[in-house]
Parts: sequence; structure tokens; C-alpha cells
Amino acid sequence: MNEENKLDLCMAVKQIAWGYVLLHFNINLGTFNILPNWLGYLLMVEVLSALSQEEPSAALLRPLGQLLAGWEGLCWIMAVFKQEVSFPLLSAAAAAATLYFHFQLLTDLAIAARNHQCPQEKRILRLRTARTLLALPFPWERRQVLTMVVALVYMAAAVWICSVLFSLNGSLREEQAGGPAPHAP
Amino acid sequence: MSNIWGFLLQTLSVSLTAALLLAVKWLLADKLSPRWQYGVWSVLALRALVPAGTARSLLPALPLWLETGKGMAERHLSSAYSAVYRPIRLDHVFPVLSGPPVSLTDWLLAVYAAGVVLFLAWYLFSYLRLRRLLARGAPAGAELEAQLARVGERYGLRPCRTVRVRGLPSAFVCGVIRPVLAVPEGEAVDDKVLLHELLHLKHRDALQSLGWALLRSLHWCNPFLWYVFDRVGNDMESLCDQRVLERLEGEERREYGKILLSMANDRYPRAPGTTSLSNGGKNIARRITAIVRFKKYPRGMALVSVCAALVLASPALYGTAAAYGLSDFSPGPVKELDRAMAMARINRCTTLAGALDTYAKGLIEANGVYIATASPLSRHQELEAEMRRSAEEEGWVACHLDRGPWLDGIEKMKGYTICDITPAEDGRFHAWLEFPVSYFLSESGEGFAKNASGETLGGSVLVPVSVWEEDGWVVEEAGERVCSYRSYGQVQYYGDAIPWLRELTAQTPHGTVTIQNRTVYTVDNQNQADGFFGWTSFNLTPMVDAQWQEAWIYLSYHYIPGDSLSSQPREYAGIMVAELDDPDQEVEFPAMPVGSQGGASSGPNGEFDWTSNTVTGEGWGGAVSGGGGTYSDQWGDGPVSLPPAYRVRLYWDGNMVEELTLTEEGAQ
Repeated sequence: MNEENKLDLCMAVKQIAWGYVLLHFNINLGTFNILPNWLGYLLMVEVLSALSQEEPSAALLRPLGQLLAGWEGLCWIMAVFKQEVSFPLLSAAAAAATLYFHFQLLTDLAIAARNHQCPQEKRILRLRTARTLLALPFPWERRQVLTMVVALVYMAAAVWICSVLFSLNGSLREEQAGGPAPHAP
Repeated sequence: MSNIWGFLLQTLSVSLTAALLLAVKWLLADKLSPRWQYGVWSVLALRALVPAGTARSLLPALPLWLETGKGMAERHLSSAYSAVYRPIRLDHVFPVLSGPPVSLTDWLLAVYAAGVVLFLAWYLFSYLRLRRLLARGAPAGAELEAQLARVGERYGLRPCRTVRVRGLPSAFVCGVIRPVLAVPEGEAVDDKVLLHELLHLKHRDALQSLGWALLRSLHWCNPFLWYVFDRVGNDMESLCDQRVLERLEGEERREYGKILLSMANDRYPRAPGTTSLSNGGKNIARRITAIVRFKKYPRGMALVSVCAALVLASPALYGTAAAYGLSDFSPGPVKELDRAMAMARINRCTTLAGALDTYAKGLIEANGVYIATASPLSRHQELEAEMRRSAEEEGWVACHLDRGPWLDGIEKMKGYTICDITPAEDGRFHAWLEFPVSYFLSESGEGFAKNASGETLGGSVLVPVSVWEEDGWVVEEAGERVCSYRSYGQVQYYGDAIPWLRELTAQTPHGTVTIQNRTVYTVDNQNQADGFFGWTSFNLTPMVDAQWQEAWIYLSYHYIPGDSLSSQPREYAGIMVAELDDPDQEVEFPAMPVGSQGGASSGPNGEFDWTSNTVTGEGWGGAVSGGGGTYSDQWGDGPVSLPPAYRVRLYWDGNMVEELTLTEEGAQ
């Protein structure tokens, strides 16, 4: 991998991290979410080609990411106009596609981390597993305590994902700058 | 399924699941393994074997559309298998004829059932014919037996009985209990072909194909599902190809692809309980594409594969409940009444609280559709006829239903309360619904009822109801309505116009003590505050699955001092009451305040209600009375339990003169 590709990878990881920030955090002004999920997906889709230099299977995620951006855009527009999204068929398909998209994206990022001997590989894989399991349709809402616990776990996972990806970006930058390459524990 | 509407609901529900799975498989075609691509069809198999419900669906509007269509169609028919006011219900997924067909829809079910039988018979005939052909086949011979043994040993697979049959296009396995491997006579059979068939044998694919054939028969008249079942068969073969390729090395994999290509124009056995390497030209092309994509999927993929299948299974099997709004319950034009009554038939109340809430709001709003939603199905025809009559003859909106006696002056925004739910016979419950009214019509029907001063009387109307579970929770009025010329509004009804739920009385040397109980239940009907200033209002949308917001046990106590005490020169008489969990419970009473006052005090082990009155002067009415109550969180879907006992202390001038325990068995 040449220096330009390494720089692209750094940019890609940083952009994906910002994508996760947009996906996981919402700031609403009335019904207007100023951190829309569709923008998060577009940020991710934009840099998939750079990530595919590292792991070719990342390129397969592009059409899926574009569809998810479209779906989230639809949900965002409906929310702005106070309309409820009630398309159970589409919601179910989008839930399955989302599950796979993030699983594969985080797998590809873990591979990139491993290729560059960054210590974040195992953490990303653990995050990937946690995120996948949290996406399962358990009836949490039936118990108020469970709902609270799951909400806290979601929040912790969201912060965890973003911080690990930003730290991966930092590790890659250090490596690119010729600093000491960190070693996996 | 006992009528054609049940079949339509089932086959459309299965089709929706299939459409969802096809869409997701298309999205993930090059991403998830052939194991997932075939395995995810198990969601379809489950959906096809589990009867579809009307309360939840992958497309929530589907059951309502079908129920509306059924109501409109059956109104003009005299069907033996279905009726307008009997909602679509599936106990199982097989057709059952309960008698000779009478109407068009009955005949449609009969034709469908005959089709199922014919298809099953055809499959059985094809299978038997194939088995007969194989029975006439020549023994495998030593060379083929040795080849099979070698392939089996190399790949750890167990061979089965093998025969050679003249004219076969390709090898296949036939049978589930005693499977037979059939190979073309006079042709050399490649090791990879044998490997493919032995893998089918190992994974019992013949049994699975039998199951899919059964489902195909049940949906023989649904062309979309025929296409889907073809895709299922192809995915089964693709999975077997994947298993073969995982066991082969580089050059062998290419050769395997060539073998498949050579079969693109072959015929193949279609009998159920049979698997074959070849399954038609179009399908072979798809399989070749899958082979080109072949890779060994990493172990982590199992997690995402299982999770993705679970994410799809949840909506497909459990569905989503339709969210009906106020407008669904309140049709204006008569032509919309069919849809609204269909909704009332399928949108049954799921809780006791939900049934009472829906019925009470029906009375408040004079809405027949609400009432029907919480009424037994046997009343629906009468209710619908009354709504149609009042709409057509009196010009009311289609959902209007007269409230009945005394409820004309109902105060909508004060809502209602539920009192004294008690178990009755046959698993039913008895309860009272209390509605605040601003006026009562006079008994003559002219003008309002007034008191002696000529003021218009307001108050409460109490409606006795019986509630039970029958195709959902239902409500029916169970007696005369009672008027109470005193309004309790949205507060608990603690008047004595209706009998107390329980009355405990004790005669002691110091007088007579009476404790009366009433239970009051509420559902959360407060609309959320909105806007800058925030306002709340009573939510008039019926909640069929409502839960209790709170249950309150009201306590009313009276102490009439005996002659021996009242003749003594004392100033104050008092009573203090403690609720007991157990009649023998130790209670430490707080000190009794002296004076003319009342209230509740917290003691070291509970709450105490007390009242003290002066017994001299004009204010003395001969009794010390008071009331109080406790919120109870000990309810499920049914009524709360009353405390088993009360401990009572009687006082003169703050001094205790007697302590007693009141239970249903008497005083101690």
C-alpha cells in the first residue's frame, strides 16, 4: 500500500467514525434532526472505495449503503412532517440490511486495523459482535427496567464505537507519520 | 381453515413473508452464504405452518381489508362456512369442509380443498411411480459399489442402496425412510456427482423436499408461491453445491461446474421425496453463478447470518399490530360502516381494563363501533342494524348509537371511573361504570330534574356491567342504571347509591362500628400536555389493550357510641382504623389527636385513618364518620384484593376505650 492509499485509509476511517456519530446521536430542533442518519450513511458510502483498497469486500457494501441512506432519508423526511413510518415490510428489510452492513463494515475496519498492526482490531471485533446482538428484536419494552438498561447499553456502545474508530484513525496517522507502530496486546 | 377467507388470509400472509425474504435475499445475494440463502426459507416454512392471525400481520391493514371484503360479500350470501359477524379465524392451515357447500364462497373453498387433495394425490402417484421404476432397476454392480464406498470413505459419508436405471438423465436420491440412489445405466458416474447425492442423503434433503411439496400443495392456486417454492428448491441445490465445493480442490471445482453445465437441458425427477443434481436449465445457470462466487465464509458470518434470520423472523411470524385511530372508530357516511364494523370484529379487547375503557368511551361518545368492539360478537348484528337505522332514518353519523337512559347530560371531558370489580359466576366479573352528568332529564321526559329549590340536579350515573373473556374481553350491561344526585366527577365514587363492595360491622359494649369498602380503578386517559401553556384533556380514543393506571381501595368508617358511653360526661368521641395484612398482625397505633378533626397519620407500621368529633352541642349527629383509602399496586388484569382485616380503636377524649379486629368472619 503506497503513502497516498494510507492517507486515503486514514481519511476513510475518520469519515466512517463521523458517520457513526451521525447515526448514533440525534439533536432535534422540534421535528428536525440536525444529525440525520442518511448523512451518516452517505459519509460511509463515500469512503468505501478507499476501504476496499484494504479489504475488497468493502466495495460490496456500496449499493447497500446507498439503499440505507435512501431509507433513512425517507424516515427523516417523514419525521420532519410528523408522519409515522409504518411500512413494516420495508422496515424489516432495512433492519436486516442494516445488521449486515454494520457487521461487514466493522469486520473490514478490523481487517484494516490488523493489516496495520493497530491495537484496535480486537476491540472493533468485540464491538461488531455486541452491535449485532443488540440489534436483535427482543421485547425489551415490556419491562421498564430492561428498557432503561438496554438504552444505557446502546448509549455506551455508541460512544464506544465512535471512540474506538477515532482512536484507530489516530493510530493510522501515527503509523503514516512514521511514528512508533503500536502493537496489539 | 374453515372458509375461503381464512385461506386468503393465510396465503397472502405467506406471500408477504416470501416477498420480504426475496427482497432481503436479493440485497444480500452476494454477501451471505448459500447456507443462509437456503436456511432463511425456514422462516417461510414456519409462516406457512403457523395460522395467520388477524390482530397482527406483516401488513397490518391486510386482515382489515379481508374482513371488510368478507363482510360485504357474505351479506348477500347465505354461506355455510362463513358469516358476516363471525371474524376470519384460522385454527390450522389445512382446509376443512364442515358440510355441503351452499354459496359461491363455500364452493370456492370446496374447489380449493379438492385441489389440495388432487395435488397431494398427484405427488403420491409420482413418487410411487418413481419407486416402481427404481424397483425394476439393475443392481449397482461391484465396480459402482466400490466407487461409492471409496467416495463415502474419502468424504466421511454413508452410502445407501444403489440401482442402475436405463434412460435416467442424471443421478438422484429417492425416498426418505429407505432411500435409494439411482444412477443412469450404461454411463460412468463421476465421483463428484456421487458426492453431491451422498451429501443430499446426509442432510436429509429428500425429507425437506417432501415438506416443501406439502406446502406447495396447500398453496397450489398461488402462482407467486409456486415461483417461490422453485427458488427454495434451487437454493437447496445451491447449498448442496456449496457443500460439495467445500470438499473439492481447485481443478475439481472447475470440473464440477462443467458437470452442472452439461445438465442444463436435462429433465429431472419432480417427485417429492427426491433430490437430483440437475434441476432445470434456468436454475443451473443460477447455480453456476453461485459457484463462480464460491468462497469459504469466515466463522464470524454464522453470527450475522443467524441474527439476520431472527430479525426477519420476528415481523414475519409475530407481525405488527394495526394502529387504529379515532377516525377508524367513527365512520361518518353509512358506506364506511362496513369497514368500521370489520375493525370491531378483529380488533378485540385484549384486557379487562381495555374492554371497560372501550365500552365506557362508547357510552360517552354515543359511538356504536366502540360499543361493538367491546361487545360479544353475537350482539354485532343488532348494533349494526341500530346504527344503520339511526343514520338512515334520523340523519345521525353512521357510528351513532343512543346512549340509553340517564346519560344525555354526560360530561365528556370528566371521563368515567370503574368501581367494585368482583368475580361472578362462569369466570365473569361484575363492575360498575360511573359517569358524571351535568343534568338528568325529568322522569316525565320534559325538562330537567330539579331539587326542592328549583336547581337543576347533576350527579353520577352508575351502569352495572358484566365482563368476561370470549374471543377477547367483552362487556354487557347487567341491570338497571342507578342515578346518584351527587357528582363525584373524576374522583372516586364513594357514594352509597350502589351497594358497598364489602361491609364489616361489629356491635360492642361501647357502640357499633361499621367499615365499608369500595374499589375504584382508572386507566391512563390523560392526553399529554401540548403547547406552551400545556393543557391536558380526557383521551376519548378507546384503548383495547389498556392496563390499569391505578387501583384504589376506599374505606368508609362509622362509629355510633353505645348508650353507656354517650351518657358519660365526655366531650370527644373518636375512631382510628388500621389496615391489616393479617388479622393477627401487631399494630402500634399513634397517639389519637384530641379535638374535632380527622385525617390520616403514618405510624411505624402503616397508615392510620382517624376521626374525632365533639359529642356535645348541635354539631353532634350521633356518629363519628370518616373515610380514606389506599392505592393498591397488587393488581394483575383482574380485581384487587381487599385487606383481610381492619384493627379499630375507639376513643373518648383521646383515651382508648376498646380495640377490636374486624374481619369477614366477625369481630375479635
